Amino acid sequence: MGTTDGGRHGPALEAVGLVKGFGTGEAAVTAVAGVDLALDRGEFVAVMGPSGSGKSTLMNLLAGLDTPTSGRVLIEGTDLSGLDDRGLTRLRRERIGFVFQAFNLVPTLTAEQNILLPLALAGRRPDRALLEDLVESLGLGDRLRHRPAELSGGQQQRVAVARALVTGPAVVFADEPTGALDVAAGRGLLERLRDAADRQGRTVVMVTHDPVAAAFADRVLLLSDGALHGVVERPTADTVLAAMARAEA
Amino acid sequence: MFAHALSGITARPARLAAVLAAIVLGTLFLAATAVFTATSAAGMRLVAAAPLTAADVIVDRDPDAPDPGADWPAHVAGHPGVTATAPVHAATVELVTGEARATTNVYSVSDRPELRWFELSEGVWPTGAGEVVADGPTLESAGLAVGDTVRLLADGEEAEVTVVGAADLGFRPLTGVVYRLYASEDFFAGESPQSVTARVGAGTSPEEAVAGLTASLPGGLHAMTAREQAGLAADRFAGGSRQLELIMLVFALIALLSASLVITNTFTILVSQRRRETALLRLVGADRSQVRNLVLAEALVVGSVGSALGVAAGVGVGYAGASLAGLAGDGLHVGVPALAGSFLAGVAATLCAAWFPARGAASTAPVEALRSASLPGGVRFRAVHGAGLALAVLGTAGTVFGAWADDLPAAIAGGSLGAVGLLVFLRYALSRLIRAAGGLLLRRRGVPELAGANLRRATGRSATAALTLVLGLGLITALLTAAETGRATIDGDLDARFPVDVSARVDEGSVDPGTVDLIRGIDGLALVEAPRTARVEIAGLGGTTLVGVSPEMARAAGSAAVAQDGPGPPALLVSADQARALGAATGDTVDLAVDGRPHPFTLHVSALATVSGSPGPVVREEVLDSLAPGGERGVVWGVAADGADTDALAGRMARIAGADPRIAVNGALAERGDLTGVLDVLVGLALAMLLVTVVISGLGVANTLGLSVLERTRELALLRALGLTRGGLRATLAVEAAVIAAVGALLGLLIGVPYGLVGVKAVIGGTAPLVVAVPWSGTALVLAAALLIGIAATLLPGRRAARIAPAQGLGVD
Ligand SMILES: Nc1ncnc2c1ncn2[C@@H]1O[C@H](COP(=O)(O)OP(=O)(O)O)[C@@H](O)[C@H]1O
Ligand SMILES: [Mg+2]
Repeated sequence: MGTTDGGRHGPALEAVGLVKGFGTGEAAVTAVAGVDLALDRGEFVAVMGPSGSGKSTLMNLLAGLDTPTSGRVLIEGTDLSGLDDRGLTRLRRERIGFVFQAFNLVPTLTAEQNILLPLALAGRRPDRALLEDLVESLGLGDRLRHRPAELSGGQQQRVAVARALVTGPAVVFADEPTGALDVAAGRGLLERLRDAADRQGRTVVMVTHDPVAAAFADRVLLLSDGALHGVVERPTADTVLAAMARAEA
Repeated sequence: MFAHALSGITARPARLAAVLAAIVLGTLFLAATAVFTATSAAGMRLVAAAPLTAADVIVDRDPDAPDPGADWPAHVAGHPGVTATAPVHAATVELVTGEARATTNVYSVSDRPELRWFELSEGVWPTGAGEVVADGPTLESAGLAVGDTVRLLADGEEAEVTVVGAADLGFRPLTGVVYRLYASEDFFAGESPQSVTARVGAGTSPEEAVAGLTASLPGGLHAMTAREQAGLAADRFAGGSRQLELIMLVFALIALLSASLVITNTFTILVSQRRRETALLRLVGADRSQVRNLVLAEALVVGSVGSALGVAAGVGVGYAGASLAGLAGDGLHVGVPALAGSFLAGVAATLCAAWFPARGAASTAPVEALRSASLPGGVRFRAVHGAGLALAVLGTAGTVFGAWADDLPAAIAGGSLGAVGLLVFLRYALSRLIRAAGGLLLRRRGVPELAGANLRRATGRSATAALTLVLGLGLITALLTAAETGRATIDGDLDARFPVDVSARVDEGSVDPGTVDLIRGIDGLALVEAPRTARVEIAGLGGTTLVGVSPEMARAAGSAAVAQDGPGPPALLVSADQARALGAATGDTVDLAVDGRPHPFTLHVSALATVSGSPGPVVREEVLDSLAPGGERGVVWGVAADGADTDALAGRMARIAGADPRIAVNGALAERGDLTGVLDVLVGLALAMLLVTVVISGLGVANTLGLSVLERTRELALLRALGLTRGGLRATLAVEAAVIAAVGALLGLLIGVPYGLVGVKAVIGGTAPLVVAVPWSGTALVLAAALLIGIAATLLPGRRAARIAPAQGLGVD
């Protein structure tokens, strides 16, 4: 699998007939009930839905962290079901970035070490120019030698974003990345994700509860009971709120 | 990757402190064993070779060949090239001072200064047959000074010699119990020496002299260079120490095994605590082998540092041990391969111990980074536990079979297999036990409930901690049981072989009445009697001393046949050899001619007939009066009271024997002292070595609690916020430690006692009837040790827990 991100055809992320069930008999739950998706390069989508609607499960399936009961997930045309643990690991390392609500960082490593961790694991040298650009745009220049415990929540999340982007991934998954941040810090983070999609062509999938955060996306997918129940194109906070109210009604 | 491992260690060094300490102790023991062995072997070589340092050539006489005559050294002296010769004599005599009596070796020291191998620190060299010098330890322990006169007894002959000097050997001699005197050649005048040492002139090499001597000496005399002979003598010494080396090695490996268990447990806990962190690594692209190698790299770093520290400390401890034993005469000797081996063994043990936790870490699913942490569980019954149980049962059966069929190798093989099986199975059993104990605690409210709940949720790690305790305490219990049973068995055997505890005999006439009174005066002897004796001629047995005892003495000595004056011919006690010579067995009626006149006797084979050291048939006193009237009382017999201090008794007897050189002392006391003395030293040594294992297991318990406190910081803070006091928090930990320690100690006792019994049975075999004795005091000691470990293990974790502020439970992490 190459590490260049240009010149590819077809969607960056594709899901076909995705179903995921848990448990058997009385306790059986269908967390994801038939989802089809196709996201282009540089597309930023937000996934919204009530608690328990299957957002996290869907994201795990799309990122290859969990195996679907049926259906397929393709990243840059590669079918995840055809990959073994080693292949999935390499895919995560090279083509996927993760940001989530909390506990994003290894507490014993400095901010810089955390950012470079995927490259260190792959035995790759960091692209200094890319690193400097990332650090600069995230405003982390004077924080690189600090450990996570010495950073604010917003700074920690920015380090996590830098780590997610440092490998030049095809898709970035973010599960409520602003959930533990104040409004200003959350805004900064979302702008950075938007920028990654626009300027670098990363595909971003973000789970969120916040209509304001969702408004940064190109599209909002509304999930309920594990199935897609609506799409808001070019969302604003108001249109998202309205769509959510409609979905719940 | 390595940098990451290092950062993991440096960020939380305290978590790995127990691993470090355990591996330091384990390798320290190994390295100390290696250094002690090498240093003491070199020291022993030095001592063994010392008498040959002044000689170039030594000529030995073949002890099986006909004696070439006392002047055979002249053959050597006459050889061209040989400039000086000295005969080498050694004799074992009894040294009698006013105080005591002891076995003493007398060695010859050359009359020629160039062939003497030691210096004098005081006095002059001995001349003539009546002078000796003694080395420092001999002077000290025999309470002698230069100028004193002592008596020497050998083969019934007595000689008086004066100590004219003190020898300075330059080292402590190896034989601590035997005294050493050095006499001039005149002392041995007329005896054919065992060897002759010689010096050669400037133009001759020792090898040439040996070649020449070999060609010219008569048969039965063998020449060798002194260096070669010194090497042989040293090798003979070293052979004896190999066994000790092996025993130490076994205990060192047991300590290392216990350290491995502690390490496995620590890493298992650390890995489970870092589960989210590990999952995060997997999420951002670490593959399984990278995660596994991370844990192994950490183990490698800690194992290397710990092993290096342990080896360094072990060198010091091993040398100190050899010095204490007086075996470091040749200075420090360090076997580099052995030290490297100890270091590698330490590193390898750490890596092996970390292997399973590392594999566990590698199996962490990336998605766990996104979930809340799951809690560690218990031990599920798996095939390996079944196999362990089967192995334990089979091994135990093998041991029991071996012990009762007198097959020591089978018993040892069975015991080892059984122990391995037990170790494997016990983790499961202990986890169930701890779960059950936790369940009992849950029925009470408050502190016991909290402790019980925590014990139940992490029974796996508590079980491993308890397992190290079972290992250490079980072995100690087994050893104590074996020692106690061994001692009781020796006592029982001695009672059977020596019906009286003290026997003094003179070859002719009566024992001095003063000596008899002194023996009567010994505390702890319940019955003392000087029976009548008479020299008689018995047809079929020849001339022998007949002893006539009172019924009381016969009863006290366990001889009912003589004690009861039943119908039929009177009882005659003889030795087994004598019965064979007479062609009769116990219970037979025989007609024996005593001094020519026939008498009927009922024959009994009894140890009482040999208790004086030489066979002496025993009858009742009035029977002897009728057979051979007279007033001679040539023996004194004493029977110890129950529970008498046998060591004190033996000491008193030695002093009385020192005052009366005519008597020969026999009886159970003398033998018991020698046998149980050796046993006590061995058991003491083994216990000291097992202490290392127990300390390591204590570390393991403390570490398990300490890490669980770290892991539960938020939960404990919440409990504090809800109103649990600091004392309550400490009490919770104390209860947890107590349960682990108690379960470990109980299982240790339960397994140790039968293991000890079977072990001693396997060693003793059929040579003596086994007398089972449970070491109650030792058992109490083991329980006390477990309690102590439990308390000590709570100290640090308790302090850490007490520092947790209630507010820590409220923030996010
Ligand atoms: N590992 C699991 N085992 C069983 N049920 C699960 C598991 N993960 C999620 N579920 C169930 O699947 C449904 C969707 O959960 P989730 O994807 O976490 O929803 P969301 O993230 O939208 O709140 C819920 O009913 C949840 O209980
Ligand atoms: Mg969720």
